[in-house]
Amino acid sequence: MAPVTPSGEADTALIERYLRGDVGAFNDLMRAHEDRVFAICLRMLRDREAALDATQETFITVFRKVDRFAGHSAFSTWLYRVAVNTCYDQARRSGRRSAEPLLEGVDPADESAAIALESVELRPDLEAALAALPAEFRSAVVLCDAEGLSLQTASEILGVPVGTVKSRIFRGRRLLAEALGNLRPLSDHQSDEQHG
Amino acid sequence: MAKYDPDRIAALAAGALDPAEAAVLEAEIAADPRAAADLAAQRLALDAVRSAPAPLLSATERTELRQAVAAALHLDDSAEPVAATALASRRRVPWRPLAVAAAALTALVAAVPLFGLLSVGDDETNVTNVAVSYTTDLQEVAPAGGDYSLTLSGERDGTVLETSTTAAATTTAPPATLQTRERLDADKTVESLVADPALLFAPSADGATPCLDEARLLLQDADPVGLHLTPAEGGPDLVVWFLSSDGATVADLVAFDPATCELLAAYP
Repeated sequence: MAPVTPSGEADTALIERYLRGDVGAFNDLMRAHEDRVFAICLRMLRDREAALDATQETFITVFRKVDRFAGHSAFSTWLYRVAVNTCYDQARRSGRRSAEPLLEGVDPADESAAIALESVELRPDLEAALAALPAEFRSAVVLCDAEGLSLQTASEILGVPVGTVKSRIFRGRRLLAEALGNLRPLSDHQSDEQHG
Repeated sequence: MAKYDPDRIAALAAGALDPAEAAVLEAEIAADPRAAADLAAQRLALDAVRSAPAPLLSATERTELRQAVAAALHLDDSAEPVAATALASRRRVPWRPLAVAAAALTALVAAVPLFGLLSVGDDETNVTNVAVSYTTDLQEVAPAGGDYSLTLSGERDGTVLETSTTAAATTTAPPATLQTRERLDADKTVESLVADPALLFAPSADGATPCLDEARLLLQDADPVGLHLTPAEGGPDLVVWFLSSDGATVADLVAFDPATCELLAAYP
């Protein structure tokens, strides 16, 4: 279980203040976490408006249930878990849009494609490579490599063993590198999941 | 079987090994082209992801987000006018189907006398000789404003009969589609859940269960129990909220489309 850090303790104090009706604590919690939640959602969903929706839904869900937060793990771990689940839900609802590469088959001169690419604020080649990843690989890479969270924290957020997170990161990075055009294709036996 | 543990290669690329171990492993891997390629790939991907700028909210987005969340939580009454606008563009409320249903009912009441559907006597003989067709035409006449019109038209003896009515919906949500298939699936799911509610009372992982406001309104209860059923669980993508007085059977239940919070089914 991820240790409760000083910032985790600060979050817990803010939650207590919030539950006592201190609206300022709500603002402080939002300020502390909104950018990171949005970043996770944007990298998961690759669409700015969808990411804003998911961010909003995440915070509403978390604040409505915050009285049930037991403090066994960091508030941020719980928050990011809700964010990831919200993104999975939203991707499913939007017809698995996030599983489809943005760049495949689009006309470079297509204005809507250009707008879509701008909206994700990533290098287009990296964006396309991330887009091509299966959702479970993308979430592991986003949480650990992009957001710098520990394997243990990512394991708690994703609800899978640490070994599975490691495997998804390894394979996710390989696929990313492949998509970036710098690695030969995976051989069959290498692409087998290596952890449980 | 790979000669080198992929986890160690990944850890080496991420700089997660202690320096001595990293140096030894790096030297070993350098002599193995396949492992070296793996290591290079890990580093390339990691560098690409880490060097990408972190997405940030714009000032406007930040303000709207906070106001929308605060309004949904009823934290700041003064923020309601702005927050309501932001919410309306993202949160879907169930007033639309209710308004549409009201419009449909009104139109039917108005149309029935027109077509003589309930009349007896002379009209009956006419009806036996004509083919009467009905079309209900549900139109959104003002997408942004949320007003609807419902037209019921028919034909008798070559004369087109038509009546229409309008109703104002109380939302500015984007257009919704009445999806019969989804409703049938939802009805079946709700029926089976009520008959065998074990799934409803099983512990579930914390996660987003949307449409709570709508459920509270319809169930007239501040704290219903919610569950998000996904297609992976064998049914339609459905959010259900329910009440139980004994913890084993369902007293009241409503089911929504999680994307729009449109009411799809209800029990009883």
